[in-house]
Amino acid sequence: MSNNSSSGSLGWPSVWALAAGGMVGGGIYTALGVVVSVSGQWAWLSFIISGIIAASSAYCYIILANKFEESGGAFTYLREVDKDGIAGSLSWLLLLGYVLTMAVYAFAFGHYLSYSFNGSPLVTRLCAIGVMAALIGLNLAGVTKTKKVEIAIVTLNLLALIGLAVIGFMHWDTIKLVSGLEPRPLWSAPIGAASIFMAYEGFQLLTYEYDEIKKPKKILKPTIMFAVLFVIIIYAAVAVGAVMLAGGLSIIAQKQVSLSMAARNALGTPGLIIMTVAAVFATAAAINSTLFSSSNLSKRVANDKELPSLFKKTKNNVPYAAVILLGVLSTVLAVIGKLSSLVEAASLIFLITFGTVNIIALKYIDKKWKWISWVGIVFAGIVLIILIMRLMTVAPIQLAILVILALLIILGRPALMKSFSKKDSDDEN
Amino acid sequence: MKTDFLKYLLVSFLFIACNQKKNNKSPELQVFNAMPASVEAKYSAKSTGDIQIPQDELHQYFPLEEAIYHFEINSEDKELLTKKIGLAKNEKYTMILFGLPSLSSEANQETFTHKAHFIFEGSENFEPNGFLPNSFIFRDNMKLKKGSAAIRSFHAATGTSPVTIKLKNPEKDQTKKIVSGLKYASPQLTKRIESGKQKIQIFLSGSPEPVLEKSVDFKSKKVYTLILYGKDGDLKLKILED
Repeated sequence: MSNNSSSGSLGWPSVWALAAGGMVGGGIYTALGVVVSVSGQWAWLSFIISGIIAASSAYCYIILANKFEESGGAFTYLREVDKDGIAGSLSWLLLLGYVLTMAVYAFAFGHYLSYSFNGSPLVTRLCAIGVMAALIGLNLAGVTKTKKVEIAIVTLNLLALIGLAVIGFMHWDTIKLVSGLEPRPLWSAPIGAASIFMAYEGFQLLTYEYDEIKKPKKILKPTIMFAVLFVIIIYAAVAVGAVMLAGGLSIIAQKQVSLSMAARNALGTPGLIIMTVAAVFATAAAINSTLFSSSNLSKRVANDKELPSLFKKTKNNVPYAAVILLGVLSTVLAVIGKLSSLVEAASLIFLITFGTVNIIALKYIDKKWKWISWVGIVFAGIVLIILIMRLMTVAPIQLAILVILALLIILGRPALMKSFSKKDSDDEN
Repeated sequence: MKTDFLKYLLVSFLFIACNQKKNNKSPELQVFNAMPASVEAKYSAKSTGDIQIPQDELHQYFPLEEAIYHFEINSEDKELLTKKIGLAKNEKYTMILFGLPSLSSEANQETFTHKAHFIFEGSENFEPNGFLPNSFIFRDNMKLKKGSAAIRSFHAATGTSPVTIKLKNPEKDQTKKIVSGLKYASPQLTKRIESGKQKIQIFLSGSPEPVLEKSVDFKSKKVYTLILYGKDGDLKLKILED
């Protein structure tokens, strides 16, 4: 356990930037087209519904992080409440979620970059492979966390999104929200929320860096909560502003690059350039953070004997096997995957994780604030059921693969770990 | 210094945005009837009216005021479809009406699968709906560079298996696949191609020989919409140039 000293290097501006940047980094660039096709003119409400779950989960993450004073996120909290078996299974599932998330970010990187110069599908894939290879290389070399660079990227990213939203509001035209579309009923908003929940997952990467935060008990709660609320507002504003610039039908038709298209509609080529720069830096930074955090999580899980010992092997303090394995898996998914399937599979995993954190927090949260945890549990439960129903309808094969993987993790993991432990002890002997 | 630069960037954004030319052209709509029957399309919102569209015919672009329109599609006094669609200013749209009116016993009749996909998939619901009447909309406004054209397709041929569409350039002796396995009721969205003379080839799934071929001189900066229609294997191709 770490103490609550001020020895960490991350002050509130860095914490705020990392939390907000972690969320905005990749989410909105890919999620907008998916949510507009499902919820139409209610896309902004979908972001608010998902945001409510994210906000309550963020509150619970903070309560648990400050309670246990330890880096490690959901995995650590489950171990602290003596749910080792669930912690092991959830950590595997979470790592799968991170792989899917990085695949989405790499997919977005490839599409946004390639769209700017009219690249072919092959070029798009090569861009995705290129960024993943470069970031795997940087992580292996130990060049990962330059806070100043990350803060600069987050600032550029937020400015581009705020600018786009403001310009959209200046062209206020509600018909644009349903341009070429059949207006969607209000009840479609939670369905949209279910499909893009992963757009909010980024803030919890910060819980892996609890030990690095200066005076965490003092700054974590106000800073992260403000970051989450800020991002909810940005997402809702972009969901209105960008769609007003490009029109609903265009956002759906070009959902892989919806924000670039909206920016080009508003500002022409300068808009396209600004949004491309913002998108490629934001997605690359998001991949970098996720690869760094997930490989360190896998090292931590392997140290606790919940992953094969291969994952804890390090060189220059870098868990190289984890970096390579997670990075390569993400690259493969980015190249062969379909956007909505990747986004939804990741959303499913993070809904389960956030729901679990809300449940654990119930035990430690002040009585008068328990309702926050309950809001998270109820909303996450409803949205999870909706997402499963959506996947059963539109992507049953992907859902079946996820269910099989989850069952393998839950049922097969203990046996697998036993055989790995035996092999490791044989090797040691 | 950095803050000043960022402020400058934001102000520049807003300045450029404020100085963008504000066009306020009325939306325009054209309608292609791929149903094997004549239809009457009534529309109402800020503008009201009705148009008659014979079987396999295109009703050319007509201007409307910006609004959410209520469309009512009838054939031989039978109400086939009622749809609300938003038509925004400065936009042009192509609506395709497809399906078999004879199968319809009430307006907007849907199979269970189609309804489920409508609920969970929204606008990307491309289920065949048991060949019951349906509609699809393309947005036609597109900025293209000189020397390039755009092509997109829609499969509206009831009872025809999925198709593969290729473009053959006779001068370069090159063939480019535009889409493979395009199913009934599904669109293939815009692909940019080189302008110039090319041969469109339509293949049924698994067939080595094209079932349809047509030479087209693709003009620079133009958008081409390929609509496959016809009934029970009698495949026809309509090419719209915008």
